[in-house]
Amino acid sequence: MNLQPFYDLRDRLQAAAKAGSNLITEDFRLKRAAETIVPFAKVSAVFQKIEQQLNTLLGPSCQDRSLLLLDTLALVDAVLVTQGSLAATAAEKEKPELEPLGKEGADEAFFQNYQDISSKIFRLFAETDAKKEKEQWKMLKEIQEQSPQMLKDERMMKCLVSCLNADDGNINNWGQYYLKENGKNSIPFLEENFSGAKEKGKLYRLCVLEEMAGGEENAFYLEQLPQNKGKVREKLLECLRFDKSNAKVILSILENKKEQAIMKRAAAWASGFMDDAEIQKYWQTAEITPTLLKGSPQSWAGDVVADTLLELMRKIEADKIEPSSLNEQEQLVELYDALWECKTERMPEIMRSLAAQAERLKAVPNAERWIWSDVEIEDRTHVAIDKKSAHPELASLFMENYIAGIADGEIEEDREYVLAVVEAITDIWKTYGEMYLNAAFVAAIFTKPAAEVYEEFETYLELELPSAASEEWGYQPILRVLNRLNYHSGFFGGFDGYTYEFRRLDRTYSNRRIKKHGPWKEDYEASIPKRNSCGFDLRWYDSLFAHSEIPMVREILQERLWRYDTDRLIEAYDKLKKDKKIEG
Amino acid sequence: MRKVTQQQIMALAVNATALNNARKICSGNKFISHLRSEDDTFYMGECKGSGKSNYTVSVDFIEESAPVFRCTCPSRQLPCKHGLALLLEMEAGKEFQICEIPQDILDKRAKKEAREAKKAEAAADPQKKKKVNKAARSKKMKKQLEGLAMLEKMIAELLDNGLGTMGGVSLKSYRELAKQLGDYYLPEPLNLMNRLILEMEKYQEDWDNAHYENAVQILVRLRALTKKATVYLSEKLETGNMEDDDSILYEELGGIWTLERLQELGLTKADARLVQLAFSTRYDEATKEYVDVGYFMDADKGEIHVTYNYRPVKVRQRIKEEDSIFDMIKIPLLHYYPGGINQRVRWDKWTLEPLNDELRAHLMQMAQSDLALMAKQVKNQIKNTLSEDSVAVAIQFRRIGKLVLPSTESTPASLKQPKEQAAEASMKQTIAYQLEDAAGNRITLRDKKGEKETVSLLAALSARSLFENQVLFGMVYYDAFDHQLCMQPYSILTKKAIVRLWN
Repeated sequence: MNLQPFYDLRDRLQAAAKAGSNLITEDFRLKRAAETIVPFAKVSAVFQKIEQQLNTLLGPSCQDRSLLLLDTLALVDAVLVTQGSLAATAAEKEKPELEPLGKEGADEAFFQNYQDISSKIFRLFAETDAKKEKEQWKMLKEIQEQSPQMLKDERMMKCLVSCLNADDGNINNWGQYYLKENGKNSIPFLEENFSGAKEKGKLYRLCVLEEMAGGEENAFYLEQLPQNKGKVREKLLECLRFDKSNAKVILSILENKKEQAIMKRAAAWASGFMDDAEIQKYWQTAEITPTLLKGSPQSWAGDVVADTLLELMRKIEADKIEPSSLNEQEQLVELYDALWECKTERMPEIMRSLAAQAERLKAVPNAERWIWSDVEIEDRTHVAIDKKSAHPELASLFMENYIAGIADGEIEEDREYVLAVVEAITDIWKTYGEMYLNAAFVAAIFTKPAAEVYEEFETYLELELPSAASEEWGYQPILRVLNRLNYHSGFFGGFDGYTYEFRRLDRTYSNRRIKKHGPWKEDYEASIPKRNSCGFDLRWYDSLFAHSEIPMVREILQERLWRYDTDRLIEAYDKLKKDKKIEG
Repeated sequence: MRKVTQQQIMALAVNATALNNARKICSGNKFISHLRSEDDTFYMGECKGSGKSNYTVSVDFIEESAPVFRCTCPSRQLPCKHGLALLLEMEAGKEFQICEIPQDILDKRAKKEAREAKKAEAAADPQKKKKVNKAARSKKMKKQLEGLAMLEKMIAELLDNGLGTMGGVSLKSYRELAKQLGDYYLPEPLNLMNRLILEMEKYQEDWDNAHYENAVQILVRLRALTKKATVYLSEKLETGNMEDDDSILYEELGGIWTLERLQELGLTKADARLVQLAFSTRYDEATKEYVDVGYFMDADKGEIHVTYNYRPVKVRQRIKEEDSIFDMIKIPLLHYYPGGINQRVRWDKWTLEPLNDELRAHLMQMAQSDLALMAKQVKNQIKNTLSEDSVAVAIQFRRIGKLVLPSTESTPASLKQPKEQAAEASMKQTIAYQLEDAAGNRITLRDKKGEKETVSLLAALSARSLFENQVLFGMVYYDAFDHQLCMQPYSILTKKAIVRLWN
């Protein structure tokens, strides 16, 4: 039976309730809907009753029009409910095939992790409510202490995803952490109701998603791209880097003159991950700065940055540009920054050029804004540079950090490349002297045996040692490098310094970005690859104890090197205390 | 030594805070003494508190299914945190020294015994039954009829001018009028009026037409209630039968069922076994109260029952907050409320028994197997204006799967160019989830408007076996959008677990 007339009638009656029953006699649409019911009146008593009620309702002499309107609506509703159908009946022969839900082989893990979880816990996390965050944080801690297995229950992932919307950084850090712990099972939860999430929640969801799924969820990124704007769109553009097939989308954004600068930057960064001829061609003629290729794993990207940098250096060499001007300094720093962990055959050439111009690059015309101690640089290098004292130059800093990063990451995969860079650094050290001692020391740590490193560099410990009275950290190349061994973040536990420090930045192209919306915890808890530096020669202890009156040395021993030989350290300290060389 | 489980303690706790505080007492080793009677029916402890003297807390298990808690602390919660802490000490297997049961406890036991014997005697003797005060009832009914007449007038006036006229000023006066319904002993019509006003307020905030539709539905229900209640009350007054009967109108008109009265009406079942299938708490803005809703399956008959625990905001600290129960509940005497398919149930004494795979398999067998038959039963119930608009059912299924359909939502065609329209239509897709029974009937799984979302959670679960040859428990309702009966999944029953989705 075609029930459309009844659906229309219901709509008209509802509209009449909104407009008022006083106007019902003038409602020609309702009258027309009522007319379509007439043929049904013969079919059943209920339809007949509806027809009669409609006649009265629309007639001029109706007394309780309002009440009759509601009675008629109730009757029509009852008819429609009675006629309500199932999605398909057994008798229907050609039903669309149902796609199966769930995954093959996931049963065991699902039931193993399934927990009897109180409804209260789910309810607490069901909504994003700033007032509830204190309670949520308390509950998360309680769950982690008492029943951490609960967080593996798949149903909890919905709660964890809602944690990503929280204003409290701790809550969304935990949300991210446990979503990652649950692996790819968390992906459907991250994508579900994405459009309904807050901007912050969306960003965190994408952070987890890109790590969990990478390019596997490319269709999702592409689907969301036109539906989002601002930071979320920027992040989505970054996520496109995983799939080569996105080259066209990325190029279209780079070439669109109306596109926002921020989107272009994100697209440019993503393009650096693509081994695509069109993209490479674009960068050869591109007007935008190649610094946006920072962190690119592609060698062509390293070459593009290197070429731009070399060109600038050549201009400086030819006195065409004065490096002391602020713009050039910034440009230089950004280009060096962009080479971060990039590999390029031009690297030895870059380093030599840098060393040759080091004195000129030292000039600092603007004391108010000392570019080398800019926060970004300081964060990256973890060097607390005192403006008043002697400081490392751009050249030596760059070499030290570059070799540490590249050697730690690549020494096993591309030993030849690393050794070429090491050779260049050693050569520079021999040619230009102690300014490059720190870089050479780091290069040795990654390429020579521990004993050899000690024997070669121990003698330099005496060089420019800070005074015993000085509480400040001076610039002593050996001590500074030793201090970076086993760098302790002090936040989530200890990590092996060189490996950790340089690894954690390889996924992002700007420190500022991490601070703004990148997940710090993700970086802190990033898996630490095998450490490639050489071991620690215990003879360093004796050499350092000889200078233990210097606070910097004591701090290095206490904070960084204690784990190598704790007994020896305690024994030495007892002796120092006995000799009253130290207090407490 | 008596065995107590965490689940039992959780079920006894008034709220989560009380339980947490109890845990703190235990972890702080605040108990100075642990005592128990030789016959294992009485446990007692002395516990350090914030007061000068220690608190003496005891649990009397003389009646297994209804332990009695006593404590000398000033808390009004029952059981207080000390009582729960004593149970936690038992659960932890602490050593309890044997002691004599104190005389005052023995006296209290004797008094209770005498009281219950008297009650049983009264129940057995029909002459001793509590007499209904006919004059008072008649007076109340007349007042209710007056109120219903006033309400009818109010509805008529409102509809004469149309719902569209319910603006900011008139809403205030409607609220005042609604308040008066309380004076006429008409709590349910009062709630419905409040709901109507809330819908109209929301409409003024977001201009969503769905609120109008809801408002009209509330008015339809109010009208049906007024009409039926007037007939019901008039008949009662005419016949002079003032007794409570099993009509659902009794409750709609503010009647409160006592367990004794339900027993008198024969609405009981001895030795019932219930298993909770779903549980959640919702906040009712119209009545300003939290409602703990639990759905249970009768392990013997397969019927689905519901429990409601109302906690008005003002006094919610003092009312026990219900929680999820994962064990089977054994109830010596289960009381039913009059009603349709999902009868409301209540009990005062209970014990818990762990749920095992065998029992879960048994529950699955008890679920309905024919979707078509189930749909017929549901429609029969929900077509009644005064019934709930959805019915809780457990249905055996062959599979649950996904369908990708062309989207039904789009911008009106008149606003678009044909090309654009065609391109959009080809791109837009809607995903639907359907359950198929053994015969091949299918029902769409869809979240009910205003309810917590569960379909997306169901679809995201990874275990394939959850979607093949199991039982789905959920709410079946009529969706006017596509004129279909739809089901919102609440939990999946498997032999290994009851996977709860609705919380």
